[in-house]
Amino acid sequence: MSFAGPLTTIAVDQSLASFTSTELHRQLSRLGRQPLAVKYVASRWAHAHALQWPLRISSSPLQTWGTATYVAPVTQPLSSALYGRVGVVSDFDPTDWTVFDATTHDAQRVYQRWARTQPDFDDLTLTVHSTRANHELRNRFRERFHIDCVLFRPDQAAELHTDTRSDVWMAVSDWAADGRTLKNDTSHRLANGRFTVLIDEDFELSDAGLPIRSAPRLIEPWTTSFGHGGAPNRSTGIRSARTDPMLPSKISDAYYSDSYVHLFIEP
Amino acid sequence: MTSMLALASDFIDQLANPRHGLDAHEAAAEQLAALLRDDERRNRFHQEVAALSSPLELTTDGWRWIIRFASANEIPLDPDLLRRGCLRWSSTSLVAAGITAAVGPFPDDELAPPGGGRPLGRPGISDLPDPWLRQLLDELLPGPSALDADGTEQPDSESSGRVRQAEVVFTALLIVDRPTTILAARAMLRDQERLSADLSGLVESRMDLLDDDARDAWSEVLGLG
Repeated sequence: MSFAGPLTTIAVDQSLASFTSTELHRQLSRLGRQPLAVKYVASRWAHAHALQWPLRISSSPLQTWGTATYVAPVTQPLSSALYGRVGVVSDFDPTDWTVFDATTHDAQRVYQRWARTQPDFDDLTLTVHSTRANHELRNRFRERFHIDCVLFRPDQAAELHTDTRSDVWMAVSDWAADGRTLKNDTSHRLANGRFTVLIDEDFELSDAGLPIRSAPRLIEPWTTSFGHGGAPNRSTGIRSARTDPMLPSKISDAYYSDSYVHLFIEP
Repeated sequence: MTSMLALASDFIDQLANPRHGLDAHEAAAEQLAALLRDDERRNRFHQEVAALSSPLELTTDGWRWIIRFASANEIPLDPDLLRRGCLRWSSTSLVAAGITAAVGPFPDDELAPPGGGRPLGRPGISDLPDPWLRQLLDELLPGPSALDADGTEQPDSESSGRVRQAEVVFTALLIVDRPTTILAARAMLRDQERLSADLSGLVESRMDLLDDDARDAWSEVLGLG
């Protein structure tokens, strides 16, 4: 049964492709080995990803394409740094994945055309519950057409890190045993996640309670404004800093010389 | 509520309720994942989900997450619980999730395309083959106490709530979009006077928005042609 009508259904089918036929796959293949993707999490979850563990599936109704594992390809390693300072990287095998490339205007229009035919379209346009309605519609769309991965342009951007016109983010589906229901706990498709990137920047995720569209850097603009007197900023490995008896005086020097001490985690 | 579910329920609401914001959703999801990493705790959580018995045990957003989790992990939910939830929840998509969970796995013989299988017909509610759907719709009907001596329903807030819920359940049956639920939606259209609901008006206004392709599909699915 379908409320979409044959023409819309055909249009959706025609907008689907295999992941391995995409430009993104070609870019990832150039790196050799299995494709990699990265998901950034808040620093307080670094401990949970110190050892290899599956990435978790996001159920947030504020995510763009429904219940999925949201990652960026490793070819755009900083693109999604908005979401935390800890980059968890996992390999994945996209052989046989069906992809809906929502970075194209044609695919976007096809989805909107399909959504208009759905029995609960009024919830989206006429009620205060549009966030949940969007989430459910996108889950249903992916389930009905068995879409393994949606490619989309970032709709939230970290200043200087995200290019909303050329970056591609991925919403990866994990299927239950019935092969038709989207899972909502942990991902088997991105099962080998491990803390792999630590980034010295942080961003706000929301603005007045709503998802932020473009997040300014919270740290770098201020660090680069230091050092007007020509004093160099100081970088010190955290392990040696912990036992460095000179650390208080270095901090004192930095303080009085309009500089800063960067305590970084040594490689 | 038992202890694992009590521990997890706050996280579950926080990871799915839009008012908490994306940061809180992600944090709650990490906390829940950490809680369920241990196999023993996860098994206990599964058992407690299967033992849920009242729609009041979780928030609406909690139910939304739990029903998907239960379906994906093949945890059977109590059919009575699902029926009472579908009579209570005001969200069409949540009622659709409840109906999907209640009518069970999608059998392959339901996959026949429109026109390719047996004609659906337009039975009454009492003719519906699925006992769970039949009971659900029977309970949506006004009971004797809600009727005047001449058989008309009292125009009170209770009956207006019932009409609203009939519209929610009707839309949810369409969302699930399986032959068995479409049959139930057709039965509601046939028996809409018993429901005191103007479901035909709902369908007509919805179809006004559609292009010819989709309008024909709606007519065929609902047997309106």
